[in-house]
Amino acid sequence: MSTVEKYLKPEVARQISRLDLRAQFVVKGFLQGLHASPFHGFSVEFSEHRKYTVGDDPKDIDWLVYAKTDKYYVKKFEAETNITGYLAMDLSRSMAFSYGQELNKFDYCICLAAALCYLMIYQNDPVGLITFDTKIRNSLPPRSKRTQLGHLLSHLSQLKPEGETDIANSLSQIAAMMKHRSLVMIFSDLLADPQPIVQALRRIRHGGHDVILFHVLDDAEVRFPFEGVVEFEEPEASDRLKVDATGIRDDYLNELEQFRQSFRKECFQMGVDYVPLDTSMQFDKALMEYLVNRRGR
Amino acid sequence: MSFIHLSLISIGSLFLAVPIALHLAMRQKARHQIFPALRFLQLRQTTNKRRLQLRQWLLLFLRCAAVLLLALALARPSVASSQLSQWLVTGGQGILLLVLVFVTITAFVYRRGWLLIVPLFVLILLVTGSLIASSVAIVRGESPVFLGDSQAPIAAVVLIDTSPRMSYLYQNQTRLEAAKETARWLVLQFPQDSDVAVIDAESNVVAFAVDAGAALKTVDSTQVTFQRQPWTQLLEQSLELLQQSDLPRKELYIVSDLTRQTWGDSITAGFAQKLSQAGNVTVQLIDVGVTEPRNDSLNTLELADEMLTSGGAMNLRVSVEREGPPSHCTLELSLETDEDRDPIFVDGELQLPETSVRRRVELELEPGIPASANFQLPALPFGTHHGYVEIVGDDALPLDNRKFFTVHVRSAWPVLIVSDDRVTSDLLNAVLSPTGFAGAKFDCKVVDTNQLKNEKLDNYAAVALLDPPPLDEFVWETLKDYVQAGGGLAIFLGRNAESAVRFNSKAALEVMPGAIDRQWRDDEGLFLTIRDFEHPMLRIFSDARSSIPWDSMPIFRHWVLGDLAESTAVLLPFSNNKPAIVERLLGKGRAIVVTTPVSEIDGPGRDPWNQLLNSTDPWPYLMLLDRLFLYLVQSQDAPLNYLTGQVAQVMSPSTDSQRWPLLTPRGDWQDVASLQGQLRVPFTDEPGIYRLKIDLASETPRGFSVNLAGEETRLDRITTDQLEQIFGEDAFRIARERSEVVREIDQARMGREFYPFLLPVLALVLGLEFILANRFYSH
Repeated sequence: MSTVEKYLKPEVARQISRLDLRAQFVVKGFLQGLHASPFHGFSVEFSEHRKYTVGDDPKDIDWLVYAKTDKYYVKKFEAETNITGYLAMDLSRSMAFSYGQELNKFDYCICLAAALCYLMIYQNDPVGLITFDTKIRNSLPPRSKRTQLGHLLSHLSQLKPEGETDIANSLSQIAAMMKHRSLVMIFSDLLADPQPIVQALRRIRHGGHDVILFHVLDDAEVRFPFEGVVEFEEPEASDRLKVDATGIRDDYLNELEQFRQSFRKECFQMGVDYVPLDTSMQFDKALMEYLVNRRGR
Repeated sequence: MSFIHLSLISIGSLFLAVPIALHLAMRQKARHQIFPALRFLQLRQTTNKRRLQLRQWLLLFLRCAAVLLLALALARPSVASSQLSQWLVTGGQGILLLVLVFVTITAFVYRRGWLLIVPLFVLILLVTGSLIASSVAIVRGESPVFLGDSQAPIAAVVLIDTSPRMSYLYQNQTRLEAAKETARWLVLQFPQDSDVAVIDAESNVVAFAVDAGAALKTVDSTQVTFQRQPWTQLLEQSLELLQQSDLPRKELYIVSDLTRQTWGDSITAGFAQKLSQAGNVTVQLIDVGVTEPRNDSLNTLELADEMLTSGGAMNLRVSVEREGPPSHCTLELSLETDEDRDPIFVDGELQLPETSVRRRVELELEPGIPASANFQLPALPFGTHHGYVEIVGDDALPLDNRKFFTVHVRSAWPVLIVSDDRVTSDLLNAVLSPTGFAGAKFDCKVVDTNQLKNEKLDNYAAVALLDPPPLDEFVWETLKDYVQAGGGLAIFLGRNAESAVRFNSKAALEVMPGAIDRQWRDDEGLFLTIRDFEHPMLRIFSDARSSIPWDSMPIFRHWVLGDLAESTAVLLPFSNNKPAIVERLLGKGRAIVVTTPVSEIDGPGRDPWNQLLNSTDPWPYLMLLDRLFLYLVQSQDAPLNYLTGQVAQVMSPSTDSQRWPLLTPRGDWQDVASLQGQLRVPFTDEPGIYRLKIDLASETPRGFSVNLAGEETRLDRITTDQLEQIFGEDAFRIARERSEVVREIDQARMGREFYPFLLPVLALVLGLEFILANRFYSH
């Protein structure tokens, strides 16, 4: 699936659109809740009228309606966001791993990125793309035009995860690169030393940026379905290890859980949204669940 | 331990290479898998590697164990049955030790903590110690019994019990017939070229038979033996014979009814030690006995007197015992009617004198409680009378249903009573020869002391001196010659002895058991006490020993004898332990001194020496005097009734060395030589009547009877504990049926196989291997 449509399925777009409608107001909903917007202003788009109640600002009273109905109604407007979003994609070779799943981790991340990109552009938010492995490899500057989605998706579809990775270094570069306060959405399996990555995330947060960290692992990495004696090979460093998979499963899952926990804890302390995902989860549902959760906060 | 297919062990060991090769080959077969999250695995790599190795080693061990167990099971190891439990315990400890070692290593690898590992380690040490101890015990107690091929030649001794009890009839077969049948079957079962000996109590030479046919002939010729079997000796001879054989496998088969009477003496004979020292002999008992026998048994037959005088009554008592439920029985006493006829052969068949039933008695019998019956036959005519008492009807053991007896009626023994006018001979005369009593045993003649030298003493069976005064040396010498020639002399000392110095002449001391020393007085009164109830003279008192009123016959004075001469015995003491009746053996005869008189004349101013005959109830002393004179005339020195195996000594019709024909109960004529006036018959192993062919007018008895001792037919059985005392624990096997014998023989020859124990262990190991392999290598 190399076409754009592969990533942005009509039903997915519809899902997000419906979510948008149901959430009444996306900006008020989740994205705005993620960060304190540096911009204030009035919406140009009328939303609805409601009866005036004590406490409402009298300047919001729609006098035209009063003239027609002799009742006080207050005009409501949709606020407009002015957030710049960056989709930061990990291009390391490990992202290409898949074990019996339809999507590998990279494809899964593109799907997520596409959905978010669509959502932001739909809200007229500028979205840019940064890809990295050991360092930043490529970037698309943020735009809020509708064509940005096409550009972004076509760019994503041409990427191949095949390099080594240095997530910490790459994130540090991203932190240095961004001038304005932005929303950085990182898509990575984070299979590297956690401490430098956390440091790099701190630096981004220190720059006043909002961060959502999508930690995407393959289903096999989460469940470890292997049995018997298996020789495992790490795709990037080509390290090999022969283990009794059955015997080590519990230990592996413990280690993984500790790893995720450490990120969850650090991210919580930094104010970074940590979203652990695996490729067996339906990404749309996972995303919606996350967005709904965010909105609830 | 031995193996039927030893080669399979080495072949099986070669097959050990298979699991090892598989193990080495399978090690490289790990699946390759790209996996980005390797870093999480690397953190636990060391532990996991150890676990992986542990599992692989465990699998390798299980596979090797399976191969070895299979080889071991097919090699069919076996051990002596007595050691099976020891081997099983040791094997169990070995398995437990392996499991503990594995659990401990697992706990160590999986880091389960020292709290678990330390106790496990201690447990391993304990089990190891116990395993070493039981292994050492096995090595030390390794039975040298040869195990293996069941058809290899053997050295076998078949010992057949031929006691009278083996003639017990059960299921229309005597136990001896059953034993012979079993022995015959056994001999035919033995492998070819075996050394076989058949032994019974009558085997003169204990040796292996030339071939199986000879052994079978010996079995067929076996018959009941009435003389007591030297059972322990037979066992030892059998063991010695087996040890002489060069064949490695030695087996002792004992076919017996396992009655206590046969085996009882062997319990303390120490045969177990000899068997244990011999080491390599297996003992197989084949029980042909009956567990709940039913039998009426005539235990004893006692005659009051077997030597009767004319007109005397024969008194006889029998005792009967029953094994089985209570019942009644009829006893009949039969006597030969035509005593004055010898057995004759008519047309080649022996015709014995006819018998007629003279008395019949009914008895109620309770199991285990002896019942007795008395018979009396008055005034038997002169001559020897044979007869028997029998239980009417048949039972399983007819041998003990009849007891034989022989009595001899002769003229009264002539007794010379010597007294003078200061004493009375009336009392003794009345005791020995009561006036008007037809059956008096003695014919007494009374003479004065002065006339003694004129009497021809050889005409008398006994001489009694009543309270003799000091006698001339000539008289004493005459008396000495008389006694030495076989006469009996009784001296009743009294007040006439007067002075010890005068009485104790040199010639007197040649006859007297001891010199008279002094008189003993006791106004309170002494009395007689019997110490030895086994003496022929005193045996009659044994039944009433606690109810004899000796104290009603006080003795106030008696003579005390000085140092007693050689060949002298105190037959009866007083209650002060001084001798009352003393015997001295002189040549063929006896001189007996009674130290208190029986001839006192009552009179004023004369303190009586005793009240032996004047008391109100003098029967014990009367009986004692009667026995004393019977003893003097040696009436009991040639008994007429014997038990099997005893040497019969019958009075010879003449003093010449002459041979006399004797008819045994089997109907054989045997010649018996007369020696010093006696006929000695050692072959009394058959119960029945033995008849001497002598002149019908002879005064001497013309035969005697032989009976089985009552205990010879007791059928109570020996217990397993007692058998263990005889042979040692686990040193023998008992079987009743042939199938049991076959099984026991197979077990003894092959030992107990481990095959049935190894197979479940093999299945367990294979099952474990399957489960673990599936778990470790599942995809």
